[in-house]
Amino acid sequence: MAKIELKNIAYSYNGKINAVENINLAFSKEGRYSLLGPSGCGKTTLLKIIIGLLHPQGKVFFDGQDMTDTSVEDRDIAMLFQFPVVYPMSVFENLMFPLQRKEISRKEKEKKVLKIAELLEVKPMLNEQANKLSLADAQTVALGRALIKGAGVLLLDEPLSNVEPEKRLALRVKIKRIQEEEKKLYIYVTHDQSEALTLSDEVAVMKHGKVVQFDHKEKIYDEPADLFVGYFIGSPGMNIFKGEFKDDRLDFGDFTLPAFTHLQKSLERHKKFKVGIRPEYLRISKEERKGWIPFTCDEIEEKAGGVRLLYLRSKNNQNEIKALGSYFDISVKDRLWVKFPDERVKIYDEEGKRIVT
Amino acid sequence: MTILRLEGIEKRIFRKEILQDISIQIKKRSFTVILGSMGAGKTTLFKIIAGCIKPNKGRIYLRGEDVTDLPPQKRKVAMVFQTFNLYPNLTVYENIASPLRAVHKSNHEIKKKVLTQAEILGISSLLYKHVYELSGGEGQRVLIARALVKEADIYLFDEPLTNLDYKLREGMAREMKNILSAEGFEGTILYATPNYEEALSMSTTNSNTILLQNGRIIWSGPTLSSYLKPPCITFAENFPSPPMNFFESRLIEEKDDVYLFANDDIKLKVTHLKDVFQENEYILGLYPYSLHIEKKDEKMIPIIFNLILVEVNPSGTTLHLEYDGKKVTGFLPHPQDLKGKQLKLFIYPHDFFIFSKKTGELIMKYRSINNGKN
Repeated sequence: MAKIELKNIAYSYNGKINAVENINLAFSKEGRYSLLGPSGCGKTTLLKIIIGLLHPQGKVFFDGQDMTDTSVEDRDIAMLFQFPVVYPMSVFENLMFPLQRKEISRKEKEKKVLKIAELLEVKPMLNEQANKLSLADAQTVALGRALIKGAGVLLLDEPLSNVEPEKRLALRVKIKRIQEEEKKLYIYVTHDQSEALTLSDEVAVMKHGKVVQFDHKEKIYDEPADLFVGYFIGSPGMNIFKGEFKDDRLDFGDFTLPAFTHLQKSLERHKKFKVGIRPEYLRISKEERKGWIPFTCDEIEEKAGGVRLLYLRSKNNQNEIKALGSYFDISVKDRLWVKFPDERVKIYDEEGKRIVT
Repeated sequence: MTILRLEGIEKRIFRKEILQDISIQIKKRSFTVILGSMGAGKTTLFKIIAGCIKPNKGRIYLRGEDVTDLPPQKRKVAMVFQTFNLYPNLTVYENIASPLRAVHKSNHEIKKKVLTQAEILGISSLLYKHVYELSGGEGQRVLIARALVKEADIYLFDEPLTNLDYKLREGMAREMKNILSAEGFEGTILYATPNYEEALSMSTTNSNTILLQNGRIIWSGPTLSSYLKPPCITFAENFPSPPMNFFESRLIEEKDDVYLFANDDIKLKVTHLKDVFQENEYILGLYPYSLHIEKKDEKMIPIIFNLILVEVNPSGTTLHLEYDGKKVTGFLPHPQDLKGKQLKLFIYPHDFFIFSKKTGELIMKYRSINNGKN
């Protein structure tokens, strides 16, 4: 098993405001997903609905079967929580615990425990008291216990946020390794985009209880469906500025860009729009070039990693954009020419929704 | 004009040396970053300057006057802590006014100062709002206003952005920099942070950085140059994020040539530089962003790494690699995912920094031809 579908899910804690609404998501078998969003976006509520701790409006399907009314124990799910949950017994006994009621021989149970212990590198601590371990080690044991049941789905709720910062990397490596070794459906909940982009392939970005984009992670970065996604993902986020469709061109007040023909139809309906472009996709020249737009460098911010962030201002100070790159020959007050590569310019309506391209 | 001078400051707490031999001079209206990891002694240093605690040894001078034995309220020092909260029951105006009320200024004077400060920080329109109506960024500005409204010779900011989420921090670093360099602002600022990236974004052409490590100043100078020319190994392995990679190497001779030899891949010809190298062993340093995924020209050296984890970050991709039994970090400028167990990357010989193994100091950045300069 392990395919989950959420259909028209909504949930309200107080009967008035929906914590999540209009959720339609399908997680396929053996996929690696994440739910990503700032605190309060509804991602934990959604997770509780998937496990069966909350009873929503709408339907939850597991492998096509309606599970909306099925209790937690009867769903084929294991979970790893934010704070490591281990029992006050040895690491070995912790790992054995979920197998207690399984009807297999003691020998086979031990074999399973040893296999997981090996994979997670906890073999040397099998005899230690689990509740006396460091947070990172305890979380590793909790991960092992979640895995040993052999459930088809593993939900991870910000499992790294309470782990000592210097040990996060090692645990990330282990989670990644598990994802490769143990085929199952993984759903990873986090507010940290690095974790989402590192530990999943498909990302559902959430905001105010809704999913604003559900896509492959590269598309989330390169083709944000919503300006919130463009801003939230990436540091610095997308440049965003307002424009108007005039005389077949994109007019930004003190400069214009050509409107690609395939956009014209959509723009007829959205005379006013917003444009988003990532700072690293702008091209910059110190010499004037045909079709490039003149800007003045207002400020330079040094970034680690051999790059600088330039703050650029348009002719009449109507627009400000940021450009990221190894621009080491540029100084403040320089006049520069900027190219907006067609394929990198994304157009959104006034509410920030992508106008279909 | 020097506004603050510390001379040979030492501080022990329970026999533990927190600060040792701290001597600095700070110019009026300057901006200085105190960069140090957790436990380096940044907060202790600030408390000593403010007068909250006394040093075991050394003197503190403000405007040339010895203030070592003066209590905090007799020093004109203002301090902003990382856990500095606004009063939730008061308006923005009253929050900013609170330090002035504490010293019993007249209503008239308070009004004048609050309004001026709000004007400088661009928060005049928020003055009669309640704290809960503010966005995170606005709240942060109110905090700064409350710190700056107190007239002081020196303002100490102790990790003011540490508790903000990264999106807010992104904009705030620039905002703080603008405020602190705005016209009409006469204060002198010391700004403590453990975050090198933040130190870089706060840096201006004339800002300085003091590196604090285990209670000692290990380097001070212009912020940017520390990145382009890391002064020593301790710096390069602690501050840039991700930190520099190091490879042990030794001087070898082959036929008529001299090489710095780390392994069969990394072998730098130094025949033309042999006067520079008097010792046998050196450490080669390479920034993570100097590992490239494409071969751009023939000068590049190919190296095959084991790929441990590809960490996709908001501003790029961190590669956790293994090479020659050691961990190596790479950084690619664009967020992307890479698959596979092994990865071939390319490096330029001239991207290597050469450090003395004995002292840890930077000897030079490698160059393949001798251009006469050292």
